[in-house]
Amino acid sequence: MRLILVLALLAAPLVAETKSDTITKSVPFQLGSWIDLSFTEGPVTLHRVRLAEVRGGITKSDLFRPGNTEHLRNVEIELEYSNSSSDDWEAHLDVTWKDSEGRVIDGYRDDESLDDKSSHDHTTVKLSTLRYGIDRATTFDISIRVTPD
Amino acid sequence: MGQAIARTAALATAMLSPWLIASAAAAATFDETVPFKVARWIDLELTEGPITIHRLRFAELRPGDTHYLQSFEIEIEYSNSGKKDWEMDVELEWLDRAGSPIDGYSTDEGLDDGSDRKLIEIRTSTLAYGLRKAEQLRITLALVPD
Repeated sequence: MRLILVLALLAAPLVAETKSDTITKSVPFQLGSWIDLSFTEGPVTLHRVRLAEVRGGITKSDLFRPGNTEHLRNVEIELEYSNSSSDDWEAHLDVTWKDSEGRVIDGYRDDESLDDKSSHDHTTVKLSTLRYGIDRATTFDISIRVTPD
Repeated sequence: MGQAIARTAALATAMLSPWLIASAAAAATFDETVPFKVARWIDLELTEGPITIHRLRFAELRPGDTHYLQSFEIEIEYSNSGKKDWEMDVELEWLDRAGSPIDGYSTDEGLDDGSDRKLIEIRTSTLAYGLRKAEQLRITLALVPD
């Protein structure tokens, strides 16, 4: 019985919370997997989000740490949204990944524009992080607040 | 410094000496893993010809810089009593308790002629999480005439 309960907890998102203009979710960390949000605030719907590995291309790390990218891994936060309004809105992103002891490894905190008259558009944020941290991440915490621009 | 020091098998001979000098015409090298500690100087005293590499350390620059990053400075103190510049290949890698590499930095640095205890300062940044997990520092230096 206890085992069934544990398995059920692992299969479901760890935490999912919605506060008026904010969607908060905590899920098992998995690179590349889409996380369903289905969150609507006014004319904006946040459909889903994911953290995926980026291969190739030049990143900020290549410029600031030339020749020193051996331990880095380039990842991309990808948010799919719709905005039926004729005005831009903003998504205030606060995402982190944590290790098995709940310690924050890395994350991203900034505002992203949600363009007007968009349907299932994607906004992406590329960043470099440590391969060491990605290998040890177990939890992905997401908090996105939506406001008019 | 009280923590266990992990070394690779190749470094076993280095336990008898604080540094290694490669044989024949190869560059003088230092290759050792020591406990990782920010702000503490690590004595090297690697000498080759007119060059002495005295010591090295990690120094914090702006603790808490940005949300998850930590800027820091690698400082290496050296002397070059010769009349010609030399060059030093630097490879640093910080490891966790189990010896897994977290992050590192490699660069070539010029060692100016006629220098007495001059400081090389290399500024970079890494994840604060990685620095918190770091317990060992692997240092590999190689000296060659410029």
